Amino acid sequence: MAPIDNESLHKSLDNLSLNNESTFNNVKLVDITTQLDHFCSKLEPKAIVKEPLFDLFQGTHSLEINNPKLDSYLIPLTKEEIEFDCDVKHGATPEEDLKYVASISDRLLRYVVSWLNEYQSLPTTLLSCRYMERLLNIKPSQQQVYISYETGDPLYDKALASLVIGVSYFATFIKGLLFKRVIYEEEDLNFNFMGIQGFDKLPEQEDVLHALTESIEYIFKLYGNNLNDYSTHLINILKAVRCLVKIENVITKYSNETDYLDKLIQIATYLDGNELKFDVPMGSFSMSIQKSFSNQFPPKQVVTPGKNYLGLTTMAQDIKLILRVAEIDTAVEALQFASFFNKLKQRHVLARALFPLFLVRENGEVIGKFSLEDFVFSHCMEFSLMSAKIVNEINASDELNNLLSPRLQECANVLYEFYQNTSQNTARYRQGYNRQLLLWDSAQAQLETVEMTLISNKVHDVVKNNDGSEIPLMPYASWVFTMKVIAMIEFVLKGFDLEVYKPFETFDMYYYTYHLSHQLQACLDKVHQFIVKKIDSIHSMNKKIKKLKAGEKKEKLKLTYTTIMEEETPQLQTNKQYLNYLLLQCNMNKSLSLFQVLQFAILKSVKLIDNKAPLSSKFVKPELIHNLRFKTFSSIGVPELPDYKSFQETLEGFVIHEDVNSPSFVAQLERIKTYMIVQINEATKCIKTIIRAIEANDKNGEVFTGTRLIKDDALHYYNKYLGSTLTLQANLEKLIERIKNKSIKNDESTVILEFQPDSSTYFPTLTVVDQQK
Amino acid sequence: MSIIYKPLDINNLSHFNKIKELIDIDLSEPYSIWVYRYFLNQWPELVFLAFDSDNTSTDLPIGCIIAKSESHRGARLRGYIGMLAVDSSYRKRGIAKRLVEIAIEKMVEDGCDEIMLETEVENKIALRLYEGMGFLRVKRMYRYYLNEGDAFKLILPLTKRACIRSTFLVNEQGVNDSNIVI
Repeated sequence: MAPIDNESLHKSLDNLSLNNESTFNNVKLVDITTQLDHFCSKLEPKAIVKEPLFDLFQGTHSLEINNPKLDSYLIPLTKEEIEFDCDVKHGATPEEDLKYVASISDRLLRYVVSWLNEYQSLPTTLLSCRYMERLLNIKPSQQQVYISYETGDPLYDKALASLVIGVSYFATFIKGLLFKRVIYEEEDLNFNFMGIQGFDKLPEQEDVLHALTESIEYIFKLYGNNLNDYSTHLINILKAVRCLVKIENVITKYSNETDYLDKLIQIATYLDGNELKFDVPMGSFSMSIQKSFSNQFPPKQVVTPGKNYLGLTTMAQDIKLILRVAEIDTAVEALQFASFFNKLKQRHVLARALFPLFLVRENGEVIGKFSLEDFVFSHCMEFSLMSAKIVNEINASDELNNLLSPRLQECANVLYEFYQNTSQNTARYRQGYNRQLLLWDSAQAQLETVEMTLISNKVHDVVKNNDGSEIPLMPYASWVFTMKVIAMIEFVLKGFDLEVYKPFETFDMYYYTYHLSHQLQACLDKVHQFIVKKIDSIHSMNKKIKKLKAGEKKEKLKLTYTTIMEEETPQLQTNKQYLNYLLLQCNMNKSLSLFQVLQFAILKSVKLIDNKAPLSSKFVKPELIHNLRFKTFSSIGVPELPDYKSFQETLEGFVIHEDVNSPSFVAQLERIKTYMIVQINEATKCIKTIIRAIEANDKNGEVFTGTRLIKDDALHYYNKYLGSTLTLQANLEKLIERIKNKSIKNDESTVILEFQPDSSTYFPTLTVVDQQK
Repeated sequence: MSIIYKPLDINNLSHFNKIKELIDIDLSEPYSIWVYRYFLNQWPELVFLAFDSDNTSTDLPIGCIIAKSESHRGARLRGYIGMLAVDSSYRKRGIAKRLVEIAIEKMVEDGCDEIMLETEVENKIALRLYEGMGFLRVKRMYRYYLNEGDAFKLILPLTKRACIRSTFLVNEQGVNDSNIVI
């Protein structure tokens, strides 16, 4: 269609007129021409007229009349598209009608995958279907969407209509997830519904399922024993849509039933192996909806769907995976499940959206078993709180309880945020920690204040420092500190995975990880020591009992011992093993980070890299750049961020300052290499111990990883770490060899961060390459 | 060939149309005229154009940079580079770099604490240009562009305020929205 010229436009506008009786949709219209002229006369030249909330972001979504790139009204349509009628049959014979209905249904199902798995938009997939548009485009007065067309053929009027409504019902469910802000519009998926009202006026789930079932029965009845490829295909698609409609049960009924997901996987596998060649009726899929409805995006071609049925399998398997969280027995299992399920592989958007809603229910309960406050308490009990004096003290004192409760409520809020964040997309996941760190920091400070009150009342546990001095356990604050520092390390290392850092920043980031790991280790050691001491003291009770003469005192102690052995010792043993795991993980990151720090120092020693931004511009201020990178941590109270000078001095301390050709350089290089291999060996030992524990389902007595329900993902994660120990070492050997045989030419070489196959993306290698690469 | 750089003449409509053309060719996302007017009308002093002074047949720009500056969360003055484009026949001559330098100099003069921009993760040329001038990737944004590509948010810190979380900065700057009519 040609753009409207100015003359025609003016003519059309001249025809517009209002009188006192003019209405639109029963709303009285008022002539505001005079007011408009008045305000326009006051406008300054070049002024921008906009609503306060219409910012640049909104502006980038604004359209422009007569610009073919931005005006969807200019989309050209074919005669078939313009004249397409959903209320007539399109086949010349019943066989052809079956093929057409099966082909439209097939395309709709594949569009579900294009939309959700391949990030396509609604108008270019599902809403490009004229049959969708026909049923969903309802009049304002219409109470509900009808499940029928008017062709007179039940294949269209019953089967196709129920399928369209089933798909629409599923789409509306996804829309609801976007409103719950567990996934984000445009980022995670697109629900550009074009202002179509029908999405909000669909029948109930039961009615939709009933309509689908009726359609399936109708086709069976129609074809009896003569089901052909097309009718079989159509039945399978209807069954698949029935499964899609049931997915909402995960959050409406908190059902962890998986039969329908298994069925969906089975159907997807069948469809994938029995693809039919189809033609849809001309004009039945079109860009016309972009032209005639409320469109906020530039015109876009309708998607041609590929053979993507297995995308449904991915979706179903990922949902099945997240439903396993219902089987958690302990807080540590929940924590580990959340930490691993979406870590290495970004899960299907629907599974990611459902996870936080299924885990923490609308009433605030975790998997319908615990309140969030109890959940915080469980996290602490499974870490540092078991057998601590503070527990009895707080239980016995309303005053202390009142002091602690609001602080634990705050922890519950941060913990909720932690669990929500784990299912975010890979980039938003890192940003989530940016905010979360401040909340953990604040929670820690407040809990410390409460625990200091207990310390002043002399009701607290202590552990011995290396120098023999005593330090308070502070079990609550220690737990928060651990959660915080683990989050800090994750934030830093995730930056490598997302390629946020340049090679020159590698030293700073790994040195900081080393520093954080060191601080974390001290805290974990403290808690570990407390647990071991507690277990020892319980065991010593038994010896004491044996030494006592028979009598009331002995019986009383015996009873106490039996109670503690039953109620506290098993959890203390598990806590000790869990601490072992946390210490191994901490040591693993610490050793690998130290390795990277030293690798960087070697590269700096041969003048291939520096930890400052290249000074090729007058705007580069290295200290400011460093401080900007560490902005996230600058306000964290403990552990305090080392200043810029400390980073510089530490690096200089590692660098070999001798002439690269001198024997002492080579000797020092060898010394550093030996030390680096020690780090690799240490990391390897830690990783292998963790892997052994996971493989043995935590039953080998040393380490409790809590990964029973997410075993494969956890194993995959640690095996990648194991891969890194090999690739990092190989890269070191190669570098040392090149330095020794002087094959590195500084003016032709540069250092890149390289992801190696089967290795962790948290530890890319610092690889020397020629400048061209 | 000598290139000269000039600030925008907001009254020159042919320059405006050429700017739009230069940018529309290269950008993955089409912008409406509103977006151009949003920048050019509110911050004309932060738009710079490059001209080929040897080409006497036309006075149209062969490159441009479009920027703005405003208060960020009431905590710091943030410059923002919105668009940068150079005619394909004039590339690899340092024109884009010079345009960025001029814009930064102006924003420094105006007291900006930092300058921000976004660029596609796959746009290695843009990343090399900006990172060479001290811009730092501060975060990655998932599927930021309509073409489904991720983006990096880059910041060039100019003062210490750029390195402190907004929450901990006292509001010392106001928003200059005086030329916006509601």
